[in-house]
Amino acid sequence: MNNISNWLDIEKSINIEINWLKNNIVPYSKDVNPLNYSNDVFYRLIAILIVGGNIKATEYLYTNEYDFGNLEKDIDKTHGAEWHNNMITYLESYFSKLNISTELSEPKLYYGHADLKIIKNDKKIYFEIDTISIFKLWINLLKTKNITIIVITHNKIIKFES
Amino acid sequence: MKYINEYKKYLKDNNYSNSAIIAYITGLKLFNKFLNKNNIFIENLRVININNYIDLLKDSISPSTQVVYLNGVKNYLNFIKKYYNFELKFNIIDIKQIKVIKKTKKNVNIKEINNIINTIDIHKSLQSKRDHLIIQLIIKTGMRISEIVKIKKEDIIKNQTIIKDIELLKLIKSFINEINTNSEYLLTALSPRVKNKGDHLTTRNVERMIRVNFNNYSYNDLKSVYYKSLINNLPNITKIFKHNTIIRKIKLQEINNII
Repeated sequence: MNNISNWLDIEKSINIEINWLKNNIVPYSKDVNPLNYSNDVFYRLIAILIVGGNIKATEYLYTNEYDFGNLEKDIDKTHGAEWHNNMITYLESYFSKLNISTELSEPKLYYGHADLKIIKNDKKIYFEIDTISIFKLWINLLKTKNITIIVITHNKIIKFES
Repeated sequence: MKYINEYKKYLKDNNYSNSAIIAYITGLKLFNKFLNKNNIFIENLRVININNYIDLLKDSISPSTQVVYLNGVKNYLNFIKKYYNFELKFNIIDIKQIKVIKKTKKNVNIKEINNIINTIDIHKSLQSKRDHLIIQLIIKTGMRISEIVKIKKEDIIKNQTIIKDIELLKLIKSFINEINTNSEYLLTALSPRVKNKGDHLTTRNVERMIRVNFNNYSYNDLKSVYYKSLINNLPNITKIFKHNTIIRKIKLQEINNII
């Protein structure tokens, strides 16, 4: 944590977070946000939440020894359905085996739905697999207190906590 | 269909809204009809049967309703699998998805919306004052219509923190003082023709009111005004924080340790 000397420092930090977000969070290509704004707007707003300390973001690298199928690389299509479905099935059975309550059918968020919800130690944790609407990510982190959203991509786990 | 009452109770216990419960049960009944017609027992259900059911829905029901009905079925299958150890012969995740083509949103002209709000003459009648209040609640709090219609007077009087906007709070309090109803709800029908005066307005009443007052705009457009106001309210940054990168690779099986 640094002391702020001027707005330039803040802008630099915001830009670092924007670049990090863009490298790690793949936007859902068919997303239509209510404001019709570009995803860049919401990347910036999430970055401001991180820089302002309103949310905590953590990036983990992970290895996966299971074969979940190929990720869809064609950006015109949505995420690879096979990989996506296998990952959700794996997580659901993984948490069920640990006696952690899971909700698979479109768990509700403040705005939109997640792919999977678990309740661990009375804490609600939502999972988004692969691509996500950037507007949805921002509004849910902004408007929901004590929420944890975990975005799992093919090699990274990104944890957001408000 | 087995465990239907238990399923209803499960939905209620899990805070599903009444409209969601009705939609899920309606979809499930339709699914049951389909199974009976084709002599399929739920014990022998296969993915292809559900996919055929989806194809059947496509002929008569809008895509968004198809999604709700299908979710009802999936949710029910999950429920009987989880609580009654019902063994399905397939993976629920393999059921094909229904694609809903979203309309492109039109750009909301906030100035135009504000102009329309200003044209509502709040001194004309209590009804116009109520309509003005509903619109203010949408654009200043972003609440869902189903939440707005269920606001109780005591929610405002006892719990002052529920509405943070001081001007809006004043508006609500002055409205409470002016209306002379015994209803516990803030927003009720005010027309003398209405019989059940104690009931709160329905979501359809509010949607109709928005349609009448705002020709081209819907509830979602009004809510966009709220979203835009959120964008302008940036936090005060007194210290700079940053994201944390954990370089140590974890295995997917260890995900429980990091959440």
